[in-house]
Amino acid sequence: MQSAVTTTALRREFKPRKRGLDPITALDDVSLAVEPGEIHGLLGPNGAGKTTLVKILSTILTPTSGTATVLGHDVVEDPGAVRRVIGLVFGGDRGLYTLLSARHNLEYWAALYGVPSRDTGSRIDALLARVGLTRRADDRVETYSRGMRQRLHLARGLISDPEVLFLDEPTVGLDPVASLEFRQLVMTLREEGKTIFLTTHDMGEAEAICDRVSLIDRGALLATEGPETLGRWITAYERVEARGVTDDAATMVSGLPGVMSTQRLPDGTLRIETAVTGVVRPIMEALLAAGVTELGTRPPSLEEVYLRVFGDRGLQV
Amino acid sequence: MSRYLAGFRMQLRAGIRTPSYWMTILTTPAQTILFLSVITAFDRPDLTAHAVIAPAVVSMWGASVWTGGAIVRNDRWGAMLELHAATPTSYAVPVIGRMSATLLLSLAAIPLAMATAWLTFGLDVGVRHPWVLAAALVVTTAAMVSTALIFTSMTVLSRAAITFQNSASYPILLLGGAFVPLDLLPGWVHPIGRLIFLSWGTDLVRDSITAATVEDLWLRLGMVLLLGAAGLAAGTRLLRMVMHRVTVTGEISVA
Ligand SMILES: Nc1ncnc2c1ncn2[C@@H]1O[C@H](COP(=O)(O)OP(=O)(O)OP(=O)(O)O)[C@@H](O)[C@H]1O
Ligand SMILES: [Mg+2]
Repeated sequence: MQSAVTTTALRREFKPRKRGLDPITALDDVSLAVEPGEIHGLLGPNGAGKTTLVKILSTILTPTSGTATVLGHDVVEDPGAVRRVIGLVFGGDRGLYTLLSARHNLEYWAALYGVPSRDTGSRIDALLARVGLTRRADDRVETYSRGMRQRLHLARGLISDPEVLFLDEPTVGLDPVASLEFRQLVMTLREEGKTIFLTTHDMGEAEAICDRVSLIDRGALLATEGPETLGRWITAYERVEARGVTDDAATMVSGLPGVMSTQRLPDGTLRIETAVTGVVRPIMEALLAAGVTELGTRPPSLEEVYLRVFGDRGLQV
Repeated sequence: MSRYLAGFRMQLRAGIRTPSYWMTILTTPAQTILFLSVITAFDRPDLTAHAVIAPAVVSMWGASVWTGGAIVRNDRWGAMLELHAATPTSYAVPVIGRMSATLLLSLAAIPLAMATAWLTFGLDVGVRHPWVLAAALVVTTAAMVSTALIFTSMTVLSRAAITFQNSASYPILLLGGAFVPLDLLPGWVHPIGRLIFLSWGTDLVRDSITAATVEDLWLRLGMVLLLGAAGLAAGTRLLRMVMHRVTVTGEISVA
């Protein structure tokens, strides 16, 4: 079966801001394949090259070298064919005409995507209903909340009924409830057979909705994994955080087996990082026995997982 | 066509609420008074039509160049420039639609100038050939939009362009006979001026107001259209080139 999206040895450099400096390498030798009908995550910290890759795939940025295809169409050789089969959704506040209503925004983009005018009205109604904006459809976008704008972004990306949808950090800046709603919307799209390529810096998000996740750092692809591997990492490198821990108790904890490091955060919270799995429980029991009552576990940061799993290769500089 | 109309409609919807798009028209009354003061001081009532047409044409051309630049700047800031580049439609099409909408609103400059003449100096600019005037305005407006697209392309390429765009487009006004008919300018500029749609357009507009008979009507309308079409061809081509250029450099996303 033909892959929905492929990249081969993709590289993108940006001209340095000052002359004499080296060019910035945003993507370095990236080769990946996204299968039809999957939600493929691109997970990476700030500046990893996620947006750059999405832009190249959606034909709004050209690669410095290497090739990329969407449904078999080369993004450089035949951008027009790519544009007809993709949808593009940015996260954040930009990308909407805020003086217009949701409906008028969608009407405008429908025309630019060549949606036949007899279909436009019904398609817009259906999309507005789907993203839960029917009631506010005729209000100006400037009056919308962040979550509503993001759902409108999604509706805009779907206006041409694309086979492949690119979502660049679509839940950035959304509160947990709005993020959850948004992810559920994205998962309903997979059921319709759409291929979704989604970028995120949130490991939990990638684990929750992706079928496969490509990990990227400083322009280089580190690995492509299933969500269960991510889940395993999240638990394995879980950390314990406790408040109201005396210095004596902190010293006691740092001596427990499996504790890699302890660290006082500025607000006095003690953060305990573990080196092996299965030690979170004994650590918590020891803390409870020492009279600490405010404690819990936190997922590890993405940088930390990269450091543990990929070692220096994933180390942030 | 539906893509052009989509731009036209959205600009009417958003543009009404964005005074900066049509604000330039509001300079028309003041400029009309200025021009009329001059012709009154020199006792040349025969130039009334000139004094009324000049500020209207100046503000309309200003509106088309300014609008094109403002559309691009706004789209770039809002990341809509990238979103346009990801659609199968050439950016020129909705931009022309949007500029047409603003220019349609800016046509109000003509009655505004006429009303100013009447209210301030009691001058009645009688139009002898209203249909010719209407036709001349339609083709001239269309040609303005088309030609202004060339200047719009510059804004895509360089964010600094917006600052010199207005001065760069100024020669079009001069050579286009907006202030004084081309015939009154030095002889050596005539051939250049005749290559600019506006010189044919402004002559025709003035003739429709003052001339007993308008000669060569079809030829002159045709010249405006022909030169406007040349501007359109150049503008769309240029815009396509610069849109491609900014996807190569990455500047399409730099706000
Ligand atoms: N237009 C540009 N000009 C110069 N450098 C750029 C440009 N766009 C991106 N870069 C650089 O390329 C690298 C990758 O940027 P990119 O935006 O792709 O990262 P990202 O993974 O999307 O980050 P974030 O999570 O912050 O959105 C960064 O070092 C960035 O500074
Ligand atoms: Mg990004």
